[in-house]
Amino acid sequence: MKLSSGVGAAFFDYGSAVVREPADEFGFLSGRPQDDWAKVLDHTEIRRFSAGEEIISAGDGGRALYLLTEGTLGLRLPSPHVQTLRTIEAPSVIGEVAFLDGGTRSATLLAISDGEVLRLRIESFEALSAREPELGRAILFDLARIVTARLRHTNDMIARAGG
Amino acid sequence: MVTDAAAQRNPFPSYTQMRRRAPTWVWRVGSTLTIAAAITLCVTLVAKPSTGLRLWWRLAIPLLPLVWLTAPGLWRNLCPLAASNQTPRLLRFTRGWTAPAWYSEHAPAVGMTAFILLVASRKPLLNSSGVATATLIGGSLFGALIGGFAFKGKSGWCSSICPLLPVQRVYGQTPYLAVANRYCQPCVGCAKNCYDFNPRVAYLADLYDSDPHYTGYRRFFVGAFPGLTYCYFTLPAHLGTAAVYGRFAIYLAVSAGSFFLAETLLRVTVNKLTALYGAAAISLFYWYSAPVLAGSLTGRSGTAWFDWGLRAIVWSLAAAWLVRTWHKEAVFLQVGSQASAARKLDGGLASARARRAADPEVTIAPSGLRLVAKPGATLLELLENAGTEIEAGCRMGVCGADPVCVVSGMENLSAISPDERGTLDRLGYADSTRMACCARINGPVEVSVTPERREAAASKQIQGFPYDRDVRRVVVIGNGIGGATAADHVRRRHPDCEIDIVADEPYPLYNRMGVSRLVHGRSAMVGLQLLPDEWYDDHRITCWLNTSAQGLDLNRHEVMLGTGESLGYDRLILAMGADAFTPPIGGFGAPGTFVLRRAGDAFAIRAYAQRHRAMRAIVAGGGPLGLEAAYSIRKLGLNVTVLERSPRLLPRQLDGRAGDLLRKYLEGLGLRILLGSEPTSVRATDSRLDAVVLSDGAQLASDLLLVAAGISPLVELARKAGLDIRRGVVVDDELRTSDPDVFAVGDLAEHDGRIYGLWPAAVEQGEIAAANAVGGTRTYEGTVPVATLKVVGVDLMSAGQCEPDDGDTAIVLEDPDQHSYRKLVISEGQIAGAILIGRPQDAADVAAAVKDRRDVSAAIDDLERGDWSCLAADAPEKVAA
Repeated sequence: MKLSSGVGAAFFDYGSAVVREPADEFGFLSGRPQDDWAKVLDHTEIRRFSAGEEIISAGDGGRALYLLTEGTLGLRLPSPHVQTLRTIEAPSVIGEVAFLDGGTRSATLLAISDGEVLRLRIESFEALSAREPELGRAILFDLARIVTARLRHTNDMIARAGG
Repeated sequence: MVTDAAAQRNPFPSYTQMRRRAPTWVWRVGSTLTIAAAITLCVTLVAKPSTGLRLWWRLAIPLLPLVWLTAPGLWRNLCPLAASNQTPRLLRFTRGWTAPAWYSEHAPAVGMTAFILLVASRKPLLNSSGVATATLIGGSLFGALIGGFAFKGKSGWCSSICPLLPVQRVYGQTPYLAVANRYCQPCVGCAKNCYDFNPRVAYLADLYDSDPHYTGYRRFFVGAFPGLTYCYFTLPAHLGTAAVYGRFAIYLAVSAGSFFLAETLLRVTVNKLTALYGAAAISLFYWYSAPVLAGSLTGRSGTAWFDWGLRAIVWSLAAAWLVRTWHKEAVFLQVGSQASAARKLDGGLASARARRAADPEVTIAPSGLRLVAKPGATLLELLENAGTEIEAGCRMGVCGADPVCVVSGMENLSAISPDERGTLDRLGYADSTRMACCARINGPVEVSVTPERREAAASKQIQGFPYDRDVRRVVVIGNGIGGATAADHVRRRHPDCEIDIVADEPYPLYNRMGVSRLVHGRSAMVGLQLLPDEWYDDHRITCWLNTSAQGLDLNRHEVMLGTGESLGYDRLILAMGADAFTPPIGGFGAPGTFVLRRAGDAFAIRAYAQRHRAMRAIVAGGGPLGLEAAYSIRKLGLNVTVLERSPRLLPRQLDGRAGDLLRKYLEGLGLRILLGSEPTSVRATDSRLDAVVLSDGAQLASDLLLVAAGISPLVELARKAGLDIRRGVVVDDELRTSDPDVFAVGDLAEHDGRIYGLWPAAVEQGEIAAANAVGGTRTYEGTVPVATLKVVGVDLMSAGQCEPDDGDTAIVLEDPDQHSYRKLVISEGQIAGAILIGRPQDAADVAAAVKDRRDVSAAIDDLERGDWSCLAADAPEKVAA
């Protein structure tokens, strides 16, 4: 039995008590050699943060992908009803939607603990993929898988919500 | 681990994030008492059925739904069945097995069925039989104990088969009083969508599960609930057993049928209906139960005030619960849409990251942003990558686009070069200022992107300069960097002469090297302005913007303005600059054909591309301007082809190999590059460009043609006035034209047969001409050209000679893994030229070495081995801490 599936799955992270099923996870650049990560790091800016700092503000522009490498962030929507929705733990990829479509940020991310985030802006990504086309393609494919997983999830939710 | 504050803001906290309302011992005492009460009740039911039955069916049961609606967690923590179920875990004799999948899958359905059967069996059996009721309660206590003995956590009873669980999940989903689960320390992850783990979400998660079967019988249960309730209370007395069950079946079918019909017909979210049916059922329940409870509590029946009071309370609670539950569903969907699948990073990152752990940290004031810099990176690179609002210009410290204030750690930045010093003096900010593009980070620094004003606002006056007091009026024509520098340096040497600048563009000094960014950027002119607004006033310089100089009268020492006025001068400095040069291209000037020289050109290109929805562009010219413009147009979203007539890009700045590396990189960015190719004519209609015809006869379809083929000095004014002209205005070593009171600098000045067309040359010439105009005797010895390419990720620098002449030697080092290329041209032991690709950290030192023609005859071996530290050794100026 899967311990959770569907829209509500995010609320039932039973922690270390449960071994997650691998299919639930979407690796980003998983299995790539350390050299590739070093190349990615060469094109990113490392930002250290303290609890309480705002890492991304809803409505901001700034086309960049964030890799949370350390710490915990809280996600907020620009809604009067909701405060912190959920937390994101390192390591995670964040901000892929605005990175891909150049739109504004849909949510605010606040630091809940101290930590570190890598920022890959679109221009640096272009430079990276001009030099390392295969690595650039791998990044795009993995982002596409993440966005596609979310799309499936959303479709599913729409179907459940009855239109 | 989340903080308390975060947990309180979370709309759906798990039990670990919820407030603990009582210590564990209080709960243990409480549930010991409820178990004792349940056993006592069983005994009473057998020994004195009338009392037992009244206590159970007419008091406890009618009260339970109200508890579940208001404080469900209280019941979950005190329920005797739960206490029984958790006893094996508490006393450590549970086997703790993981429940088999079939059990977890079907147990809730069994619980629901059992609940319905029990309700249907009340009137025929349970309500009147103490033994049957005692058996039911006792059996449940025993069943819960067995479940706890066998299975881990609460999966043996409370979270699986308990017949009361489905009702609790519905009514307990929006508690008025939330009470955290006190049993599971720690959570063992035993149940799907566990109510005790996250009470506010559990039922919604069921409804939004991806398995339609799983959600189906839960929806059926709640849909049937009003029918079940109504049927029970309206059941006629003395009906046969078969008729009772038959009647229940019909009522359930009608109720559930209406639910699924509503679900099909109404365009509402699923929990709108389930909550509505739940609220209807509980309202019905208390409509009928109120008199029963009144009888049990007051001992009398027919107490209308009690009945109606209780009904009003329950209905109000149910209505408020309904609204809150509906709202909660909207929040849940909002959150759920954000909660995408886990996106985990790989372990390979950790080791790569560890290598940069010791890199210096840069703090940005006032935000407090803390960034980790690559050693040797410039502040500009760091700030740009971090997304900070900062403008960039020449990236060589000469234009002044990126001043920053160093709040602390000045000693941890690279030294100030003469070029940067000159720019800092011109801008006139406080001593804490650095040009971000020049300041390389060697240790921790705190910077602010807003430079500090100098206390006494004025340029640095050059003390003791023997200025010519007969010079009362100086006129500068042209407000580019040459003109602005000249005016600044006249003022530094001469405290009280009148200075007028005449400029035909409507803008104060702006960063002409940045105009290509205007093509794709949205920031317009603001970001390109290079001087603070009050700069002209502070320096007592009168600036005539948007005013053309129509003529010069050298004899009367007058400049005639387009306004009809004229300005008299004692010294005149010509700095009108140049226009874009356009080679003969048939049809050039048609719509869609452009040059890029001034801000207005960039705006025109952007507007044309947008208005005509241009898809394809051709840029003629593979020099720095052409490539930067091509990149800008590409960023605007067009497919761009670059035509370069020589066999490599940047033919004046690069050798063949470097040109090849650059071409490959730019092609990687999406530019198409055609070498040995140039446009000869265009094909256009009245309104737009169709195609460009190339020298080999081929035609390339294109919506836009930009020609970047160099500059054409603006010499007409000087020619009409009778000054000596060749390609530019001819000047001597003191930068005087053929009229001794007239000087020329920048892109229109031709010195020793050469027109530089470079920003640093204009700065150098502006300073020398200014000094000589007010009585000095400086000589100009030419400028070593240094070029960079402002295209993202290029990191290219070229200085001086790029190919060795006869008798010269060259040192060439290439590292394909690092995408780097280094070349030094050495002439008679001195550095005569250099090319660097992918080595930004070396650029400033190497450029300085080329400008100095540094003698490296003793270090050739080191240089050939790739050890170029000798070029950095002789830092020109150490910055004070």
